Amino acid sequence: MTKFVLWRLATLLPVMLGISVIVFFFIHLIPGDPAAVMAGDYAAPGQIAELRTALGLDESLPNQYFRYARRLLHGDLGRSIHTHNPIASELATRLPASMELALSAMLIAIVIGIPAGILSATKRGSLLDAASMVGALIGVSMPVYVLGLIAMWMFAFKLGWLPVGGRLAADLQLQRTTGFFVPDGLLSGNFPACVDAVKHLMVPAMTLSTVPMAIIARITRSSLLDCLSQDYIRTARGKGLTEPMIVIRHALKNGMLPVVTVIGLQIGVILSGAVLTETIFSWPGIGRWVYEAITKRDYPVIQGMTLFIGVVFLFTSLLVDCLYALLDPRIRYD
Amino acid sequence: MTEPRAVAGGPGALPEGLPRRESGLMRDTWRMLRRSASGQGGMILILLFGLVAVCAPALSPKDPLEQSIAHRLRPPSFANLLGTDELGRDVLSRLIFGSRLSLGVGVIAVLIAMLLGGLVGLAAGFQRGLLDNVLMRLMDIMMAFPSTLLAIAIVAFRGPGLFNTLLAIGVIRVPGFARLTRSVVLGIREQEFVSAARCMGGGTIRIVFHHVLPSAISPLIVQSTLGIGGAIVEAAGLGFLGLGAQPPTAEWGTMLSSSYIYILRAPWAMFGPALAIVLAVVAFNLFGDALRDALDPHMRS
Repeated sequence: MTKFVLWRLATLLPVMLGISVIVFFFIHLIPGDPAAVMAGDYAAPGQIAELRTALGLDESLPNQYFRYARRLLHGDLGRSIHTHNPIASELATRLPASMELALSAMLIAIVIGIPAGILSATKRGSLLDAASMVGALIGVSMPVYVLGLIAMWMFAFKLGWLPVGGRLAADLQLQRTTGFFVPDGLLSGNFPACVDAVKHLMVPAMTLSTVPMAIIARITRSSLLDCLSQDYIRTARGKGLTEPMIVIRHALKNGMLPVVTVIGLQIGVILSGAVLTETIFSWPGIGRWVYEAITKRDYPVIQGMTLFIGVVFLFTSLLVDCLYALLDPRIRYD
Repeated sequence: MTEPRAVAGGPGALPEGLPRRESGLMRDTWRMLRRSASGQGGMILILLFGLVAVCAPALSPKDPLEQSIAHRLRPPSFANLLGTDELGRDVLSRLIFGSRLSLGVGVIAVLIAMLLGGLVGLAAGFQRGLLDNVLMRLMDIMMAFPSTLLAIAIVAFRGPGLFNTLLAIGVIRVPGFARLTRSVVLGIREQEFVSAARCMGGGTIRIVFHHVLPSAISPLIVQSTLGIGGAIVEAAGLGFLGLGAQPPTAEWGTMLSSSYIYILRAPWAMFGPALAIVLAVVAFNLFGDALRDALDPHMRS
């Protein structure tokens, strides 16, 4: 297993190099003179030249890249044009909000998606199966921004049940230790704040969870159906095992492998969906930051965040691969 | 030389009087599709959307750009079947004209991706060796980014607009098509009919386009159909973020983002484009699923 992990880590290096090259070239995608565009409409020629030198845009391309790579290796993602703060430190303050949202969404997707898929497969052809597969089709076809707006209209305005916008009511105080508001509320014994944080989290997290949930449910169903038609299941039935026993002990064990892969892929969906979801719900995480950076043409922030999210995605995929290898020994020895 | 004739009673001959059952990719697909109710539903919806997009000027009751501040945010009525938006424009007319851009961008972006990805996959899979390695590692790196995010970043740097949206959504889908084509080509190039074509003196180009490509077409068609739904979502999403079509152009995503501020006063201005996007995506997903079941023997249940 250690060998497998080390080997996978080694294959990550060239991909990370490639990612950094692509992100580096983003600046050169800007039409015209990047320095002039970044300096804004009212910059004097002197200021533009100054910015060009500061960004190293007057050097040769390979030199520019080496400069960029050296900075990255020192953990320096550059500075925001707008606030002049280091991107890495602003990232650190915004990351917990995004992680809390993304993890909640993933949890909801898994907790509802997998049982829905199992029920569908075991009760194939029933009304329940039809209902959950229609639900999954709608879930896959419903973009997060459409669902987010409808959920906002319904829960916040029509029903008035849940707040939408931000992470905590303005009149509540919370001592931040982890940056995750729900555990922070629990840790400091501040239960009103904890409940309020959960309420704020619910609609955005549900919104972000639908697409992964639908995909997880579909894959669980089809993979389980595949397993249930195998000979060893017939043997298990022949031995007189009960149906739940067969599903849980025999079919699920093999049927979960594709589900794990798909869950890994959904992390990418959630990370991209965060930009739209956080924008709609004014969630102060990195997704909303990217949106703000786009509207302000804060290119270094967009560049830094794309790189960061790409690397996060890469490492979560690695994690999923390792989990997969743990579940299926055949992969380790391949 | 005489044409080889079927031996009487042999496999090539059909007894007289029996109807000849035509077969072929198109006919088989059509036969399978006819059995899938959801696939037909999707196909009919797609045809309807296509019709609306093509006949937009004839179907649209009003000018989609005509503003009338006096009639802003009016609820649905006989004059404006789906109400009016924040500038008093007719929502239905804007939806009808918007279908041209929103569907068009989705379809064209996928076509770009299929063409580029198909070429990369063909070259990599057929040529193998260094070219294969370089191309596929490049594709791996592109796939290392969450795709929607990559599209957002590309348009953010290239600048907002429909053309850049089209480009970005096309580019992020290239690796998927390249991988698919390559895997199909790898299987085909070892087949005997390819060696036979080579023995008969066929050049690489001829073999690739006459013998390999036709076998790779059906998975590509399935992937394209399934991809159009996603491309429509991404195009409208970029529009929603203000990166796609620019106002006052009627495009579903842009309509959604300009109307949601009025969510309390005029929810209809938002529900129109929301429903249009979802319906279009459902249509392509249903049709794509049915097509995959029909064309892909492994997926047939």
